Amino acid sequence: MLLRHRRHINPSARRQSWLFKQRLRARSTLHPDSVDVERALSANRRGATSVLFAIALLPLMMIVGLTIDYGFYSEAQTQLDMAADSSAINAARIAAAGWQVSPGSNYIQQGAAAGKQWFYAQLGSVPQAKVVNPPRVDVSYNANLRQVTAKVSYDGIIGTHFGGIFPVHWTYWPNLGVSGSATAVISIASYVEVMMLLDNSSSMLIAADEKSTRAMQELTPCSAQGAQEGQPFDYNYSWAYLQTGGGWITNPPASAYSNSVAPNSNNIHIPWGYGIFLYPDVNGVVQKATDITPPAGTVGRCDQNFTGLANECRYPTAFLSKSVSTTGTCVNGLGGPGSVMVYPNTTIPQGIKPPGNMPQAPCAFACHNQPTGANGYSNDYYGLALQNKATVTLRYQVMQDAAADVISAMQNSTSGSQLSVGVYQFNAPGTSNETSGFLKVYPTTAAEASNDWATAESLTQNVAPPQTDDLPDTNFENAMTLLGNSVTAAGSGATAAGPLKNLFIVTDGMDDYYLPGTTTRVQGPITPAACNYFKAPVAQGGLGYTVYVLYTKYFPLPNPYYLQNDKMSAESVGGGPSPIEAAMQACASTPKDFYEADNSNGIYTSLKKMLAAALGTAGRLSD
Amino acid sequence: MSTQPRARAAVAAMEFAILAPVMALLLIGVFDLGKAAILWEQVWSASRSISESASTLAIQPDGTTSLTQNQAQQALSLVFAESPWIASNIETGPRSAVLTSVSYSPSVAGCTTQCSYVAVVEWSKYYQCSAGTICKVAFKPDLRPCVTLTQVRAGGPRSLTTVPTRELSEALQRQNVTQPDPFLIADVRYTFKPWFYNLFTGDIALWASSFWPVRIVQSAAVPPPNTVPWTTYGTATNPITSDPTAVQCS
Repeated sequence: MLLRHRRHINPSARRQSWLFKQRLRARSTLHPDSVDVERALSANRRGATSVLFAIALLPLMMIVGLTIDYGFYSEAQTQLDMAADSSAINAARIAAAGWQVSPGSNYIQQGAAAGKQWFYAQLGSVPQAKVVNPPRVDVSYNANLRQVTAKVSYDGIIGTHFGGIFPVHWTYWPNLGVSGSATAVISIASYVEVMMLLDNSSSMLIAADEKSTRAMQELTPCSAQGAQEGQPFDYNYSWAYLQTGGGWITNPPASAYSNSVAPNSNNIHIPWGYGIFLYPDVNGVVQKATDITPPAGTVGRCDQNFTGLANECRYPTAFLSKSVSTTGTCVNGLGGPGSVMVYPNTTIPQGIKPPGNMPQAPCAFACHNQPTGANGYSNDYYGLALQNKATVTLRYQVMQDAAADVISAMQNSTSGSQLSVGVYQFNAPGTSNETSGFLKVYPTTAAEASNDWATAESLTQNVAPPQTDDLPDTNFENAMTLLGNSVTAAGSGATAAGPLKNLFIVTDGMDDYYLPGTTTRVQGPITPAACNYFKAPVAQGGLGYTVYVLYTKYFPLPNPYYLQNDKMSAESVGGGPSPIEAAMQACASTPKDFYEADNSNGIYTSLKKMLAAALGTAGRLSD
Repeated sequence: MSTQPRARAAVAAMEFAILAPVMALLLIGVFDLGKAAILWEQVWSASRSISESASTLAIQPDGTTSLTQNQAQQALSLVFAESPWIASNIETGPRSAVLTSVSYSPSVAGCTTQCSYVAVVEWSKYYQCSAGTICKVAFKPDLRPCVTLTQVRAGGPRSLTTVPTRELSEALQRQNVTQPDPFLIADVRYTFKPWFYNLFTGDIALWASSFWPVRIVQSAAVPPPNTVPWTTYGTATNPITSDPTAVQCS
């Protein structure tokens, strides 16, 4: 008993004794004195290969079997894992979508059922593998994190090919167990804040579409190309042109100067109004030409240096028919009856019309330069555009309406109670901050955003353009810095106190400001680095916002004068993006957060897409 | 006495001569099958990576899903990442990678409740990689045709015109789901030519199909401003129709 026991528990001892005997045998057969050496050797060799092969066959077959079975196992596991992954995504998505439609629905069951079906569809047939139990799909909704989580676990067996051949349990397994799980997460309905920073600069006062452009053309007179009504005209262009009767020269000869006084921005004005070159002033003295009959139905003279009664100076309700472009084009040289031109090298020969080859173009730009006027409308093209709202829509108004549209969509969202909005604009018109900073339009309280939807919606109409014409009114960097300092950082979206935050910037991207402490005016693309503080994660000292940018592109106006500065920055460089476009793109959080629109519909849809992006969320595999 | 050792040596040689081919075939067989198993696993992984990647690339910020032809091609190129053997010319068998967008539509037009759904191919695109420096062996232009796919039971017969979603659609009908999710199918196929094993079975056709659902959930109250159904894997700025390697069905 003891012996048997020892034999059992100590197999190595047994092996040692067997080896010992073998060695003894070998010594005896290999002894040099033996006469039977060769015979003994031959006896050992006979069938050696077969024996060796037979002995090797077992491990060989085991290796073959293991190789093949391992291949099947690993392939089956890949298939099973994939089925779990895709079904977890589907379960989470279906449940989250169900929640969005109605949080009271049985979205958990719907998600779980969908996930289970998807698992089987994806799994298909797996050679040698069998899922023992139906896959377990656990769908849950975490109200604190506002996340739907779907976990799919499977449990199966994979049959082996060679397990049956070697039924010794420690040698091989007839079946191998396999199990795994996948988890997918979708965040829904977080607390989200949307802050809109709207460009209220003069350049947004262009007609919004072709129809409005045409309407503006028909409401406004023709003017000389390269000149702007009401402004000191640029003699480097128009003046020289007039002198030579064609072709631009940049330096008018001395003979072109009036009374030996070089024309400059102070002494020549082209009043906006009736055609070109009415009411010129020379050397600072306004030449109110009394022999020019104002057009019928108009009152007063609206030169910017006009010093008469205020109510006399209002925009005419109609222009002389000949000066108005009804075709979208102007007849060269015709500024309308009574037009005069300034001929600087003589005394003022009033009543002379511009040369016949002077190119003219209608105006479609509602630039702002008169803050007040009769009937609540300003005495300028902006006032004119407002008066004719039925036919003229300005891009500026489209932006206001699109912003109101976004606010309305937020109000109607099923998660509306978790959303808030802030409406901001660049600069504060009519104040000392007209050239810099930002102005909070909504909310009217100290909060940076709120959800009094009706008020917010109506206040979008209060986003006002600057009142002073031709002032630099887009100090993007300054606005972003000051705005950044006035808001708090984004949170996780899990609580009302820490919402996810988004900044929607709507602008034509043309920076226009004075260099600090100077009156040196700078125009060009914005500096994208101004967006960095907003974009940077909170952990890196930033505000953790997602910055969406809607770039409202320029389109050509009939009279290129108005946008000539912008044009340089807004045109494509070598077929690539324009400097403005590139800068705006760089400002957005990711390339996908950058939008472009050059028409009204585009502005509406882009803002809606930005909102959808801010509120939507994609499923991801978390495990 | 002197002839005995030679005769004995011959016995050993003869034994070896008989057994050597068996052992060689066994070894080659192991090599073949091992290689087939590895390739099979790689083909499945490729299919999975392609569909996962494509479904991620398809996510648009506004909650819609669409892919450009470049994105589809980019996703399909993952076959190289997952299968170095297919990428190189170590394996020279026929190969193809195809990405297909499938959506459900009610089998009866205008149906609003308890609808049954048919699976319709929206578009299909194959991985175009001609033999050259990148692809040692060109990919075959397989495509799923523009047909209504036959929905078979899970694990049912596989072809380019079937899809194993029968139980899934039946469940959708029972649950009265009004807009079932569309999905992407990534078919990766490779025909492995074993050295020895094909004496018995011929070439081994490996085919992995993955079905991948939409990932994104859009805020319910903010419908997309356009009329394109937001849950189809349509195409965005770069329409897949202009791509000669793809077929656009609608």
